[in-house]
Amino acid sequence: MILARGVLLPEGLVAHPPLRNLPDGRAGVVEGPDLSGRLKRRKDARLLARAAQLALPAAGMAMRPYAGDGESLGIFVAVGREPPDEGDAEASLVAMARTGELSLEALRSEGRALYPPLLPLRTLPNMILAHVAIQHGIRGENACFAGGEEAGRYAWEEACHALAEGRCEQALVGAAFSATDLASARDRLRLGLGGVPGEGAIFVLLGAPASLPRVVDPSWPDRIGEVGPVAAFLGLVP
Amino acid sequence: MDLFCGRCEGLYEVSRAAVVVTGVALRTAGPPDVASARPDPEAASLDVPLVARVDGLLEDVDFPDDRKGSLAAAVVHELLPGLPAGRRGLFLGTGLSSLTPDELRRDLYPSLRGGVFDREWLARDLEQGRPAPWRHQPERVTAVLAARLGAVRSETNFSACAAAAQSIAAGARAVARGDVDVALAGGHDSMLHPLGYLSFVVLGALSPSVGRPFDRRRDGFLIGEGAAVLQLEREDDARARGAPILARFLGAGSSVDAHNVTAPHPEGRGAALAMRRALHDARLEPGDVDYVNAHGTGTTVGDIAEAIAIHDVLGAVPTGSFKGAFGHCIAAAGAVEMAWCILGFGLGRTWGTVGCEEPDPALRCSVLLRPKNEPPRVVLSNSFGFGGQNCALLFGRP
Repeated sequence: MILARGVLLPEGLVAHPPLRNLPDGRAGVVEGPDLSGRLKRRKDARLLARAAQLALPAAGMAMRPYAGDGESLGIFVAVGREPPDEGDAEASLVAMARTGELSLEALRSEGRALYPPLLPLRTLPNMILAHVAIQHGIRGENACFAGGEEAGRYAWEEACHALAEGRCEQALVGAAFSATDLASARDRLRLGLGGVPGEGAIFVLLGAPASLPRVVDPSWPDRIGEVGPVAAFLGLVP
Repeated sequence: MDLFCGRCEGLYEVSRAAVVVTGVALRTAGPPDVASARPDPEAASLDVPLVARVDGLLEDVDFPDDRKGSLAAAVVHELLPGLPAGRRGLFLGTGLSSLTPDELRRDLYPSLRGGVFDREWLARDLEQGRPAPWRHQPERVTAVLAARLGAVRSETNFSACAAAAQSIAAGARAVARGDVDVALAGGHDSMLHPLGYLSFVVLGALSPSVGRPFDRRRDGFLIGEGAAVLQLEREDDARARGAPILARFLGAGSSVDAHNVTAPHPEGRGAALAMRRALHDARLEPGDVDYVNAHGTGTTVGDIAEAIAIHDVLGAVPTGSFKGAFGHCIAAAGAVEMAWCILGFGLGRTWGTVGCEEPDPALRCSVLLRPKNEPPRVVLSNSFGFGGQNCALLFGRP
């Protein structure tokens, strides 16, 4: 039984300036999102990778009808590739390779001093789940799956199993993904994955096990780009 | 069987067959009763005196220059020849990709100019047909090894240091439900590379000396690497084919702290919740547990929070940590530690806590310092991840 859903998807494909030197140069980009009021501590914003920024509003929409204390609410999230560092560590990396070779001495001095201490917390994919759980006080059974569309289906199935087995009373399940940054787009091309990079987040509040609606519209990737594990949930979008 | 994707709606019913462990494969720097840490030049450059590295690891053909992938391949291939027929599943917890110095030189540094990505270099790079950077896809190792197994299901869990424990729980439940007939479940990780060390150094998480879980002088963790998988089957199937039964899966529980992405709840609220859920799942009472393998990293705040939680849930149960012996294996921790506990059943051992010489009197738990030549009946194993994900596993002696 689906109690509520939150969807944050691109309106369409647009020219995306960071990708202008790549063969296509377009991406499916979500405008914003507006995170005001979505963080318990404003300074947490610097810990949010793009996918986590998308997850918070989508999860917030799905959580509207929830009135419990979070202890018996499960959370099951699917994520895609590791978020890139978006340039934070570049100064450190450049400093470590002044001569074109990695210098352990430079690593110890300039590299260490310049390395952003909170970067690992942003590049851990499960931080999407962590931030959503913190925002909504979710303390139930949980899991974070990595991968493409199948990871989204596993998250859904695990949520349904947890509900059916009485491990949680309700479950927040969803996925968040972004591949519109330069490094992710480059890697997609080098992997020969094709398609246009996209991003998005879809979350659902489940009150009981339910079937995940099939995705019947094959034109989604052409309309919003490739959205990794979020694709598993596109059948939920009207 | 894909129960919730529209193909089998309405067929689900709760059933719980007994699940047993019929095989264990693991790689750690050493056993739980020996300090295996050694100096490492790259770590020393960051004032990290010791690391716990797995010796003699062979590089897998599909995971060149990738210790994390090669560790996983090693343990999966160890069990592959003896795997029974039937529907197989692979459930692996994994961690962040491992950037090596070679990759930094070859792949990353040339793309940087003046502190920003050089987009012209990237555009040229795309035309050169260089090897694809698979290692940024966390699920890739699972997918490659699942194909070798002929697995009908492969799941990659990325719940930080709770990932492998959650994968074991998922694998056991999949076997119990009948989704698969045999599961290889565990995890693999290695952050023994310059940026891996740096990531923990800047967080102040690594010990500047040695790992001392629960000791009054503890000052951070010893970093390790490793991999382990448990072979899980329904007990009836294992008995029918005469397989050795090494341990019983009794239950599992998970929770989220929902407190802070960088620190555990100070009173171990989430940890306690995970342990209570595991007991409930296993239909056990706190007094049934006679040994706790703690997450026990040796960080100041982490050990305090866990000790409070263990005391609140289980009372004065003997508690140990392996992390002073072979280090914190990060995403693999829950698997390698559970695997050693299960081997302890067969060896007649309850493991102690290498590195702990003077238990911190402020901690409310009973630290088992030295191994005992008597195996526990029921072990609870904790794994807690960055971001506040917690998982407790319960396994019993056969």
